[in-house]
Amino acid sequence: MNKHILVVDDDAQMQSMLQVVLESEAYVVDTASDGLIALDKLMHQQAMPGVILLDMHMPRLDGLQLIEALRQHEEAWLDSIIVISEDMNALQQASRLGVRCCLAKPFELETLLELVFNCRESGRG
Amino acid sequence: MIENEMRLERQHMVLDTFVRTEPEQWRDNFLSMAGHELRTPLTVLKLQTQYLNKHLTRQGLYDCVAILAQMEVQIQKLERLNRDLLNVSNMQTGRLEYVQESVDLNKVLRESAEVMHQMHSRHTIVVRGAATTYLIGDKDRLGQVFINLLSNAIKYSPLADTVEVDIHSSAEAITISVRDYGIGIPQEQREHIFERFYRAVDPSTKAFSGLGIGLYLVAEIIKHHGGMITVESAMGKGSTFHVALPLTRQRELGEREYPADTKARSHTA
Repeated sequence: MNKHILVVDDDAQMQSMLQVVLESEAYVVDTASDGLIALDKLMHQQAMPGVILLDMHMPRLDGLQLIEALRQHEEAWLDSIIVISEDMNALQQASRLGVRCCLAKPFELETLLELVFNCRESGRG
Repeated sequence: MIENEMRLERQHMVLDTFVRTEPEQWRDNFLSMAGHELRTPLTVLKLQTQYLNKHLTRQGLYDCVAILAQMEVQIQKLERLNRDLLNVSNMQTGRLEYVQESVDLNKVLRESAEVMHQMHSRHTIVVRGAATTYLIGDKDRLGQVFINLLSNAIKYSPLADTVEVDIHSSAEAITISVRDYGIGIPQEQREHIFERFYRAVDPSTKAFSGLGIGLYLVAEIIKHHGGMITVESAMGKGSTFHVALPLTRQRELGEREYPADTKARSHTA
């Protein structure tokens, strides 16, 4: 089963905390601080991560742009994306593009863990 | 009875549509920006405390868990304040969403009282009576109404130890009263307390902190539900807020009945 998760967030504290909580649940976590770094990692990786936790507002390449880029490459990848944002409009846009699910900030730790678990269980991982 | 000792002065409030002046518009934009900016640090704080809570509990460090629980209560307060700020900002632009569902107000009221009691254990919140029917409305927003009314009742009655809540229903409406034994509201200020950013207490005294949005939000949510809020108050004796939520609204609007698990979204006009 694919235990790999990619956390894409430009907020260092948020990125680090997501990594800590997920690693404590025995996930293997990689990080990227914007969409461009994430895209580069995804394109050069042997296998896709089971889950991508994706922030929306980031420099260089933001969340929506990354979703669009991934969709053009392989639409099925969108099923691994959990979008996290405080911006309801961005969440709605991401949802329309066909991501797995959207999580509005602030959220509960258990809600996040449940979504990640379900995403992996029913995903291609 | 204290009720008889109080010289109660009733004032009915008419809630007018708000026209925004430029400073108000600037303030709304600022609230929206600040509200969104606070959400990421709030999320990080929540993750940190909940993660620690889980691990310290596993290790049996219950003293630390108790302190963490207090931190979580403070974070919940910030979360609520943040939500209120964004709601006020969204109300001004008609972007606040309302759900329509069958609401058990007894349950919502008791849950709200429980939450407030956890935060302010010095006050006892006495809930009396019960509604005998469901109301069609937005459960979470109505919960916000109760939380804000209870929060105000506690805040403005620092020397009292009881807040009383009565809930009743008739064929036409469900009525809820929240009574405190606090400082009271001066007569000349009562007609303004439901206005946005209005503070009944001089902010420079710093005795009672606040932003002046709680009662505005309460009044707007009640208005959206076709209801009415009034206040009675006597200086030095306390205040009672009366909320009436009509049960006929659903029929008047020709809406079909929504079962408890069915939700429909609507925007403010």
